Amino acid sequence: MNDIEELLRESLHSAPTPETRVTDPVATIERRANRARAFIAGGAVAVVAVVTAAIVVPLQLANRSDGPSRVGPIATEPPSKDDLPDAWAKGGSQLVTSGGGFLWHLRRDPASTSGAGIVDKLDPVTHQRVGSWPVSAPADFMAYGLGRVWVWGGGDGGYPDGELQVIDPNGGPDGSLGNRHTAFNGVAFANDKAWVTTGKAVWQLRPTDLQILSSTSLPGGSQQVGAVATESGQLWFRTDKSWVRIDPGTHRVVQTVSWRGWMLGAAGGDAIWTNDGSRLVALSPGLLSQGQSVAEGVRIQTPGPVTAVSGSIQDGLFVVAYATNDLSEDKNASLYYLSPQQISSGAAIDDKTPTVAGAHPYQLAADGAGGVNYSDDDSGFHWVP
Amino acid sequence: MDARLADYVRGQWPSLVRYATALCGDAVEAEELVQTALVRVTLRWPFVRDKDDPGAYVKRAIVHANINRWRRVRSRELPTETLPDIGIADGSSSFADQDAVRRALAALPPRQRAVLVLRYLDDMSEQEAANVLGCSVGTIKSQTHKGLTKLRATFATDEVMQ
Repeated sequence: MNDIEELLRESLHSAPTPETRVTDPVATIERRANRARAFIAGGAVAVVAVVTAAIVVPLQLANRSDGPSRVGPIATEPPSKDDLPDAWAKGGSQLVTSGGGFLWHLRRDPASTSGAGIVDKLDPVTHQRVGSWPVSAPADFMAYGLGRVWVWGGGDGGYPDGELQVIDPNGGPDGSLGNRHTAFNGVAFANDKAWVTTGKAVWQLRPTDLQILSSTSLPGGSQQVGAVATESGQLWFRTDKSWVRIDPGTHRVVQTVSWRGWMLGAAGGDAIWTNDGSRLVALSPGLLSQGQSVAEGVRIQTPGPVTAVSGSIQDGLFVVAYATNDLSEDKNASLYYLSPQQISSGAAIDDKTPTVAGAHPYQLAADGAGGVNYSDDDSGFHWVP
Repeated sequence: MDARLADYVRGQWPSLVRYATALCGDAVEAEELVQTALVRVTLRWPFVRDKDDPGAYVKRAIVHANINRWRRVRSRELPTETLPDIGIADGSSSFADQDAVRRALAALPPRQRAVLVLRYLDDMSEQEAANVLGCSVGTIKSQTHKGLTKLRATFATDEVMQ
């Protein structure tokens, strides 16, 4: 070893420990991890719940004779702010979505030391378990589409080994794509195919055997951080630079628009819920070339950034919004319910809006009775505003 | 967060910030770097093989996070050949020498910096450093050589080491 090597070693080992500004590093990391999950999920998971709502709701109504029912005349009384959510699962609850007439609940496997999970099929009214499937790690996000439950995770940053798992609850073969250097961070359904973002390209998958039918690179090699299929069948992906539309027929990029807001879900027609500052906007991205005012539909003033949206059976809207731009402070988040009247009148979220203060789920599953299911802080909740 | 990772983070936080400071050359940036890396580790925890001793995994994450960070900011961060404010060490103060070396290290390109930190702070072999950075042993050798050569040049070795 020569002079400079010895001096370098000494200087590195004797460097003073910097003063830290972080008083509770574990809490800080956990908040940021939750925020990262929400950001990566983008609108994809929330959107799927909205897209499938039309299918889900009639089936849920049909199932309601099996248990206690909330079905009946829609309440005419103004919602009370004292209506608190009921906890139907405690410990290990991670996500809940709806589809095929049931709720699908992803929870941690208490017997696993590797982070594996369990997907439970739940009665949407009683929340009783009627089926279960194991899923391996990473299982960070979940959606229901094409008659199947899709679970994915991984591929975040320096450790790009992602996995996509598919469960066919009707007895068909389950499948998975794993150990690939891909970042599965969004799934949307269009043209009877699954469209999966992989970090660098969008794959078209055949749901029956997960064969990759096409791979579409997005402009500029950008990362995709959201995927939404609109009710009109348009397929949009959010990259870190723009929103990009792929034609599901030709699997080619057919439109790129300058919009960087988050994708929060299908908003009816060809519109997508998105953020614009402290506004929740139903944006038709295909119309942006004609001007933002043309492309914007419903606009709702919110306290701060919105991280999840789901339509209710009563044409209202469940919204998770933060009070400030600091998404790391969960206490700043709340779950709100906006009535159809509030939405159509363009009213802002205010202190009369039914609210669950402190709720910060990043996926919402509206039910057929005007309520919503969600997982938050390791528990599963049902809220009827 | 898994209890084992939480215990590790609580116990090693100052040490990790110090490690990241050596990598990125700035204590404030270092804290952000450690947070970024630990968020990734939290999200990827199921894949961590040695959950009872995650130190190596976490440090790899910090190294990669630093290189990724540099890629994002490289348009505004330009490594310089010469250090504007480097002190002239007189050979009588080892503290001053070490401080000057650390500042000279901070002026190196991030990948060279990472190689030197892995080799001389973590005491990794060339093969181990190559595994962490995902490159060949030959690259580690050449980056080490270039880094040390620049340190010598910027540090005025002849004067300091006499």
